[in-house]
Amino acid sequence: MPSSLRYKLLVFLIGFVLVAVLAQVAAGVYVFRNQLIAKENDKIKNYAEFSANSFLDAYTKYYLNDFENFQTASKKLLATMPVVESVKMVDIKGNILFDTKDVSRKDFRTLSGSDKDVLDVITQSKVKTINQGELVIKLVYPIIEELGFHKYTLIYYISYGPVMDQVVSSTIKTFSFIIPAMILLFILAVIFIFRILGPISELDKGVKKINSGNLDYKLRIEGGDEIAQIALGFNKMAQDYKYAMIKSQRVGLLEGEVKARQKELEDQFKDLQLKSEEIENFKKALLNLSEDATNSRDLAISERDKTLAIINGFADGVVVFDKDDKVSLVNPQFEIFFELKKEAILEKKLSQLTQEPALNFLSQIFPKGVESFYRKEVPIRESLILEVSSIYIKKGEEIGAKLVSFHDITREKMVERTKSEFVSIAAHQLRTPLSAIKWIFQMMRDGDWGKVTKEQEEYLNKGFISTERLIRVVNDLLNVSRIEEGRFTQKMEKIQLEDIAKSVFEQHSSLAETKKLKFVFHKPEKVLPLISLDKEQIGIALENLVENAMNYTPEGGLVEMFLKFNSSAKEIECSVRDSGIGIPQEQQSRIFTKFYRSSNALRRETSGSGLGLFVTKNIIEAHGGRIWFDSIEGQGTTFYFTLPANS
Amino acid sequence: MPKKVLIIEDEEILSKLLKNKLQDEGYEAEVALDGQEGLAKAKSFKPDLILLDIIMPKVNGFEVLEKIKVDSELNKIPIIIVSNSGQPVELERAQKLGAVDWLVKTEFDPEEVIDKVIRQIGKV
Repeated sequence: MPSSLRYKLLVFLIGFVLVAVLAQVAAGVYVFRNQLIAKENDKIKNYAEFSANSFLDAYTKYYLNDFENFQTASKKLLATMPVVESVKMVDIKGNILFDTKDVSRKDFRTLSGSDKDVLDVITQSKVKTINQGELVIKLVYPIIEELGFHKYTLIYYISYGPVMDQVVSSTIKTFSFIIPAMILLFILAVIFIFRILGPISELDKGVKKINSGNLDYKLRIEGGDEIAQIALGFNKMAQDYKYAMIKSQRVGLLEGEVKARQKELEDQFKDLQLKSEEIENFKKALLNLSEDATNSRDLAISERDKTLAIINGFADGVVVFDKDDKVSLVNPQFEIFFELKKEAILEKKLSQLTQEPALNFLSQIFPKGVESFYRKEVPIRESLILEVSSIYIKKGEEIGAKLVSFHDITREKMVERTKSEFVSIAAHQLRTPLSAIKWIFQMMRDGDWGKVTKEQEEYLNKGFISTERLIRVVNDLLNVSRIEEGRFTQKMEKIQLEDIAKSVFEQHSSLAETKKLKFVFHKPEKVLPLISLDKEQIGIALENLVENAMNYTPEGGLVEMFLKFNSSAKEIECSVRDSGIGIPQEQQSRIFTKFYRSSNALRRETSGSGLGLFVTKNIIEAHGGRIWFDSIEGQGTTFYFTLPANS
Repeated sequence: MPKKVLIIEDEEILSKLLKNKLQDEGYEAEVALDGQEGLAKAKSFKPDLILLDIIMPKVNGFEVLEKIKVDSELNKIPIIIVSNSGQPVELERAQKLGAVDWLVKTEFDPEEVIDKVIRQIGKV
């Protein structure tokens, strides 16, 4: 029923307007009141701050001798503070000195003991605000004089009551303008509704009439608005419908039209059939494609599972970081190595991992994030030494992930250490008796215990030389074990390399003579700069090179030494050249390896230890230098080394 | 009055060789086979020079040096270290404890020992 819709709207509108107005009034009052209280709360401390000294002045000037004047002054002060009802002043004992509420002159009266707030302020000298009801506040304000003396305290009694009454009445006044406006709006709304709903109910009526067959019915709606337009359209539709009905009754005329339409439909149908075939083919292709995709996905999954199984079963610890150094995978062995659960590691960034005590060492091997390197030895604890390698897994040019593996080399290291310790102890034990033997040979040969024959002297000398050689081997062994234990430390001093080289050369000149070698020391063209080096170690290195050259050069051959300063590279280069047996081409790469001796050297001289060049290389490299050689088998060898001359 | 040298060295052959050599050169020489004996002989024998080994049983060479250093009777006696290893660390420590010179057993022969002795206390 149109009428019921009309009334419902009407009632709703009245209710809505009433509720809206009331809510508006209540909210307005409430908000305004709260704002006012907040504003006043902010202000009361200022009031006290500004008026306290004036009150004190009024008190000291007038209270006792000119009470009238005191009253005027205090009234004036109060008038500037609308919310302050009265002010009391007390001394440090709590005696009331004046009270603006009390008009009569009062002499000292003790404050009732129950006013704890006031006493608190007196003892602590702090401003205190006490709410004594929603609209009543007591402000206790100590007057702090210069130098911090606190003698007087003011108590302000503040009430927002009167101010609030004013607020409410002014609010209501404001709304008294709004209410007539609301009523006017309401009336306008009612008129508006009637004007819209009236034509709509007319429309409804017309539709019913036409439905019941009255095609001649005409809607009559005044005005040019949308509803009037609808009515006009409606009227036209009813008219068209009427004419169509008349037309369809003339069937004969229509047959041609029907046939043409049928043809058109057949064509369309054929077209559709073709299209549906195309769609069918496309569907098949799609199905094939998805089958391929499924297959390759299955393959990828099984590959991934395989890889995961390998990583999980790996004897090395493995952790995979993504390109942002966040852990994406950890295998069980890693958890075992570091005694950590993988939940504590996964998804964490490198910087978080290093906070775990067990993984603290990561910050040392990856100071600038996870970088790739090969085989870094990291002692984790007494019973665990790991060899860490890190590789980038690349996706094309980009880094996809970073795989870090931890290989347990504890056993190897232990074996190495034990071996090294054994060598060290054995060599030490050998040195003392060897020294004794050497000394005996020497003293006997030199005739310390009586004259020896020429033949005896020759054998004693051979014994002496053999013992010396044995001592060399033992020394080499000791040096190797020191290098391997990391105990081969340097004692650096600024020294002239030429002096050391020359003394090594001179020590060997008598031996060169017996071997009939041409033995030449080439003085450097320019004086060499002093460089810092370990005298003893460089001596060993030079001895090794000179002795090798002598040992592997046949009688009548040439051994010579060169020294030069390369000022552009800032280094001194030393070379020892011989015309000896040379090093076979295919064995040259292994010549600096510990215990390695080339095949022709083995045939010639059986006493070498294969340690000299290993020790020499370690010494030169520990000094920051380089060592290399040129050699042609059967023609000779030249060993070169450089030492940096930085400062 | 011949100059007196005390040899504190646990290797019997070596110490005997040294003693022989020194006596041949005209010095009066005594041997102590460990540090403890060495300290006792230093007091009774009152040597002009001590040849001191480092690695020895009972009291080692460093301990002997430490004790001599605080003994007002003995701390004027020059001491030459007869080292087995010649390790820089070892020699540095001995020098700090007051040793005046050192030699490495495997590298020096008896002649050179005599040279060093002469350098300290002169020929006989």
